[in-house]
Amino acid sequence: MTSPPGGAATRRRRPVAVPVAALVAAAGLGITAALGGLDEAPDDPPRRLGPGAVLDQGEFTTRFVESRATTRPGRYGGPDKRYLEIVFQVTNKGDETTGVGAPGQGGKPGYFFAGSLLRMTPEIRSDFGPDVFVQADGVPGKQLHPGMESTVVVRYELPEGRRPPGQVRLDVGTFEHPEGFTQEIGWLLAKDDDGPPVVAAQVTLPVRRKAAG
Amino acid sequence: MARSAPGRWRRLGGLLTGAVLATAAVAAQSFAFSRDDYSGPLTWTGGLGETVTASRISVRAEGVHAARAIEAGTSPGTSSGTGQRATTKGIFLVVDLAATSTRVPQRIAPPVLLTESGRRYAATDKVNGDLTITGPFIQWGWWVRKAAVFEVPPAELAGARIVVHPQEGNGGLIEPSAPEVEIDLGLDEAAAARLVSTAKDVHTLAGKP
Repeated sequence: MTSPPGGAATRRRRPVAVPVAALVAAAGLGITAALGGLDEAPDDPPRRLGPGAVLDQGEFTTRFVESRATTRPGRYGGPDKRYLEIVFQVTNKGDETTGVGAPGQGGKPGYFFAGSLLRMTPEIRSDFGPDVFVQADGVPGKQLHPGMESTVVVRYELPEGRRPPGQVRLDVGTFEHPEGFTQEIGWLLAKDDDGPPVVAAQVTLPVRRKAAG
Repeated sequence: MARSAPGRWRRLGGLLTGAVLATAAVAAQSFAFSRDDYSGPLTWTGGLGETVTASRISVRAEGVHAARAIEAGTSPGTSSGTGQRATTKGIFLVVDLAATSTRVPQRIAPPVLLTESGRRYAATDKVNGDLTITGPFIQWGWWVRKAAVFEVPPAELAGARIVVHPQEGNGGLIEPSAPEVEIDLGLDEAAAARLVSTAKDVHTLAGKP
């Protein structure tokens, strides 16, 4: 090989730009990682809401009206039964009739509207969960029709001897409508990846005492 | 030089053919069935008063009424009790239906009201299903006359169509391309407004289930 004229001078110019750039990039990444810059940004904390607040749940617009304790005379002359009722104004924003559904219980997920009531504090356990219905003059229903506002009542029967709590706190989720690949999936509770449903709001409702329903 | 010219032309021709084939393949996709085409029901359509015959059922919509409340005549043995009244924040749309089967006895699934805006309203659950078209068996040889009752906002009435389909296979089979009948209720803006303004206070669903 014949070196061109001035070959010695060219050999001294080493290719430093690329290694230096790589070093700087690696250092930058390292510092960012060390300072926690690559950690996943924390989710927005759940909104804290009170009576009368309105939450956009995707499929529904929901107003948290109130929570109340009611008493009804027992059937067949038995002792009075006490209930804890939570009242919502729900407008179905979707394109199809859906149902009031039921909240999850004992690890079993809920479904439809009440499925978004992820947790209630304090918890009230019963064998079949609360009664959920659309309140109207006359016959109650279980449907939420598109574009219509309905008064939804979630009614827990209090175990005998248990006093109604002073207030309840609801962890409420939202719905999203993922695009199905081969078929319509419909509305699903919004989740983080495969984790549990995201709590979008924590609603605290003082429990109002009421004589009869 | 003399031999390179035809080679170049041949290559150009090959490229062009390839491009044309690729374009044709992409264009052919527009003829492919959409999701609704191959999984949706087979729909027979008609207007108010017409007899629409789908593969298994014939359905006729004979009349349309609106009401602010629905009362069930007598509905013994149901949880809703006797003579209970159902109310709504919207309006009740009552469609008088007549139905018969073309072959086997079968029942009608809760009908759906399809509105101009593309919304689907399921028949209301506030009235006893035995008093509506979903109650009786539909048999060959005679027409069963019952109503379908919907709860809708009054603004959704114009352009609404009712969709009636038989209950799915008795053996729990999922039936591809199930038949359905879609009837345009003939409600233009004026007719819908007239229907709402002349809505009865109470509509009583006929007699025994």
